[in-house]
Amino acid sequence: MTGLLQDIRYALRQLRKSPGFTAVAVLTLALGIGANTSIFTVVNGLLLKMLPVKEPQRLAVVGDPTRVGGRSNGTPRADIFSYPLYKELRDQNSVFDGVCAAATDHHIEVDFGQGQLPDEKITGRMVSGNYFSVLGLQPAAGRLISHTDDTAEEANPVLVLGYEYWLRKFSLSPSIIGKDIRLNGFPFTVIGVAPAGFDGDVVGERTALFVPLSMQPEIVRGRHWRNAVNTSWLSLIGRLKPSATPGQAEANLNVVFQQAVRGSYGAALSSDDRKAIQDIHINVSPGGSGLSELRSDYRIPLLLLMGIVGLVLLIACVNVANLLLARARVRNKEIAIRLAIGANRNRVLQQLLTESALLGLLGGMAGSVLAIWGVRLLVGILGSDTILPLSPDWRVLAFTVTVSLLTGIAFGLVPALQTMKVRVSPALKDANRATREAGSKFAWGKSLIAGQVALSLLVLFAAGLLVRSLQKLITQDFGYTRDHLIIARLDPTAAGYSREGMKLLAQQLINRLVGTPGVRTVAYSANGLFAGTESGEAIIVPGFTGTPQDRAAMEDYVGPDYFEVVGIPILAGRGIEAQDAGTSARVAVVNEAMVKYFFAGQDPVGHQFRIDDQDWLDKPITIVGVSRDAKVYEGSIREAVKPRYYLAFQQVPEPFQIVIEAQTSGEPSGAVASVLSQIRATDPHLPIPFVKTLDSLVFERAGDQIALAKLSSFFGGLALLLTCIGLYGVMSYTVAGRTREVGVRMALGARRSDVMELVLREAMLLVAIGLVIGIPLALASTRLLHSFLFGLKSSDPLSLIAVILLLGLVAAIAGFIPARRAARIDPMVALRYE
Amino acid sequence: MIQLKNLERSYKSPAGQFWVLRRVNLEIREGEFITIMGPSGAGKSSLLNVLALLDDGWQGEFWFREQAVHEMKRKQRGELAKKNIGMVFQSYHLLDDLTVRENIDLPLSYKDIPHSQRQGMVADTLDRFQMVAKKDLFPSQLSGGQQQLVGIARAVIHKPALLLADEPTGNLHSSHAKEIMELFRGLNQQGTTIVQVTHSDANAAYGSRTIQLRDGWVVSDTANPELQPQEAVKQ
Repeated sequence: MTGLLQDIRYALRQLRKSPGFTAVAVLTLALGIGANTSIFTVVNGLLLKMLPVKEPQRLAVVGDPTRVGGRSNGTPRADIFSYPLYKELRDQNSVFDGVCAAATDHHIEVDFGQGQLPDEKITGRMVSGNYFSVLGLQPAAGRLISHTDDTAEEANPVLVLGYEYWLRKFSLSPSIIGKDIRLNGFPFTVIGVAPAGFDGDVVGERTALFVPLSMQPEIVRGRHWRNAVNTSWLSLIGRLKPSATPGQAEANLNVVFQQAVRGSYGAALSSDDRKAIQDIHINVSPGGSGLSELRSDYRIPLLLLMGIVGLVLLIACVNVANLLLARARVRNKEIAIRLAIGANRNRVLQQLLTESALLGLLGGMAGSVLAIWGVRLLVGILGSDTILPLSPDWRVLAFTVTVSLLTGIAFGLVPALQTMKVRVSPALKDANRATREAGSKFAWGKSLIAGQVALSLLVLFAAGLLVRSLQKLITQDFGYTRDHLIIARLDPTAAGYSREGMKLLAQQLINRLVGTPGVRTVAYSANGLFAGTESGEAIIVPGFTGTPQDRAAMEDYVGPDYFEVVGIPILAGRGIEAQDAGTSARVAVVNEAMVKYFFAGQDPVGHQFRIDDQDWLDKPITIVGVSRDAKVYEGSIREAVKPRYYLAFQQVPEPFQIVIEAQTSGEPSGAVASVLSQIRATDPHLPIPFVKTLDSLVFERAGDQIALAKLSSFFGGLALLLTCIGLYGVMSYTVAGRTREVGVRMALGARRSDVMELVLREAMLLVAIGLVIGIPLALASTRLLHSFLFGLKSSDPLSLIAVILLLGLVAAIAGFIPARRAARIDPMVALRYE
Repeated sequence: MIQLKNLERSYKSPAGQFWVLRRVNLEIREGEFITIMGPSGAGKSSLLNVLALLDDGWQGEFWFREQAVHEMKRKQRGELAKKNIGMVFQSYHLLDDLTVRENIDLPLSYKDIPHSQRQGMVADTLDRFQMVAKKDLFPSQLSGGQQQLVGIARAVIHKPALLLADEPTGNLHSSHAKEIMELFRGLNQQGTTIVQVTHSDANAAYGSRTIQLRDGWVVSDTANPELQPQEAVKQ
């Protein structure tokens, strides 16, 4: 122990003695460790951190933990659940102490009742009465929602504030408890505040408040889902009995589910639905880290980024190792003296490794400071609405300390072992000579640089592929022009519009919006372009047989001139027109994919099909036109366009929402505000989830791709910079070690250009060796990126050539300065040096 | 062959201007074997560097075979040196990573000589210096005398008219030193003009003319007995 303390004291003195070296080494390590800590902090917050609840390891998620906020009307599902199915699973299982249910709404308007305008739209969680007791939470103030609050529909308008919202809006004032707040215009009484640190069970979402599930009709207005067997909208979390495992729970719940299908729950389903769900399976997985949609989007990108920053850290280690190697030469005499006076070599090794471990820890400390900034940057890239539990915890601390120590050993070992090879007698006799001899070779340093180039190639190639892929993804042909469209999603049902009222409203909106400054033409639809909703049905086409899945097609309901406004070309027949109203024959426009799939080799115009649904079976639809294939929703960005039919909005019995498409004459972002005000002027009470440009919606949908491309480019740049510095350092050191040689060469007739060529050739040779190692390594490793790439292969030659040229250019720049310095060596001085 | 007229060399230091060569007037004729002697700091190596055209910082006139070196640009001086001058160093200055053959080839590699011709010249030189058996060895595998032999072979491979040697036997055992000096004598007899710097009277005896330097001044020259030390100082 005394020896270790002595080593640490001596190491500190050594580092203080060379402030320049220490600063450069610590900064280099800080960049590498900071990048790793930043990414790990996000990985920890999103993937590893447990919810701040009682015994989180006993929680299990029933269904899909990454499907949050989804809603489905149709055949019952097993990833999210209907309320009747939740009741069956909750009451009949034998493995949980309790199962709670919750659903999110992101567009709740809040009015504090003090004459203020409605607050910003907030995210609230509708929760079952046992939600807080299953999670084992205690209130920060007042009380939490309980069984008595979640009884009959709309019976108990109470709410619990999230702690962060309580802090932000009410400055932690307890006087808010007992007061009324209007949510979507309906008064709710504040009964308490959730505990500090608990932002809800959905990781990455800002849950401002909690209301009982029974209040759903006031939160998602115009809908009544409590008894609807076909509306799946709930996420379930259960607290396992102490002896139960998620595996046992899964087995038990599936038995309960099958019994429910055979019992009263199943009796409420249509025979088709009952048949369809017979084979579905309910998954149960550990739920201690809560639910998260972000987790599915960002899990693999984050793990890939961990790999990338790991490589960046290795590159940083190489730089510091080379610094230490260069410094080790200077220390030969010191080590020789230590050995000469009786130190054994292991003891000296311990001393040297203590120094590098200390350097690693200093780098770790500086890296942690950089990581604070890095985490902010990362969160900014992941999305400003995202809140993740990113405060450092024991896991982040342990990670940083472990990485710092391992880093210290990684970069310190080779120089330490090299130093140990010192021959005592010659080193004592002539330390300078030993320095120069070793310096002229510096073989380890050069090998490390070649390895560093290989690693840089790997990181840069990955970044290059991701950037090119993103570029192809964003600039691909969507089947229409994206850059002059504004999309507005409206929820007339929530404002109490009847179905016929909604059709009328759609026409009123068009009439009003047509005269809006900056707006050229306007259309409406039900799903529209990238508005976040999508629907599909099985259809019946005469002569085409198969299961309902085989006969599935996507659908949309569109108003007159939709295709002209959006810019999707009509290839045959006509589009949907004003004449396609409620009383006329039902018509549809189908896309090319639908023609190819259902009407191969035929002209579909004039053909009929039906929707495989009780309400539609007696309503044949006539195809009046064929539209070009178009990518219109999130899932379609990376996939081939699926068969799709467009019905006339005014002819469908149940339109569920209105999406406005406005084509602008100029930059669309400039017209967003006027479109919004025109919609508000049409009906001030109409809920408007969003009005955005189409491009911004597309970019939101490709968020994970954009984040991955941005971050990998950033870290690729960092890797390149570190490699450049490393190569520069090694070449500078080599040139310094070759002063005599350069002097001799110049004395024997070498010109300055010969000397520059000599040094540059050596630098380029190192890069060439690095490339020879790196290219196969990169080609093999980037296969992991395959699923992230769009429109190019993981062996994309263009990206590879670009990266090779970039590395070559950087190597030339890094080698140029030492080469120029070498060419300026005065042979007379160099020879006297001896 | 060479004429130096009022050649001076000085360095600036914080303490003021420091003179290493003062008003040097010297004529070196073709075929001479000149020895430059003097105590440490007398300016011997500085004079040799000037003659080798490694140093550019002097003033005065320098004529090489009637060409005004003092009017030449650095690049021209380099070309002149490359063609006409060979250098032998006290500590050999062989490149550790190159073999004997590659070291000898080095001066040729900086001239526009075809590779096949270079190979022939290197082979001849190895043969002439009886080092064929050692051509693939590295300097660290040779004795000091052998290393200096390589150094000389390297200096004369391109058949320079002037061979400059700075303490060529300074690091050698006396028996090896004798061999090297015999070699110089032979080269001189074959027509090479030689200027050597040495502290050794024995080595000086191989030369045909001795020049003494002190504090940068030429204080005696056996070819110019008229030059008196007192007069020189007065200059």
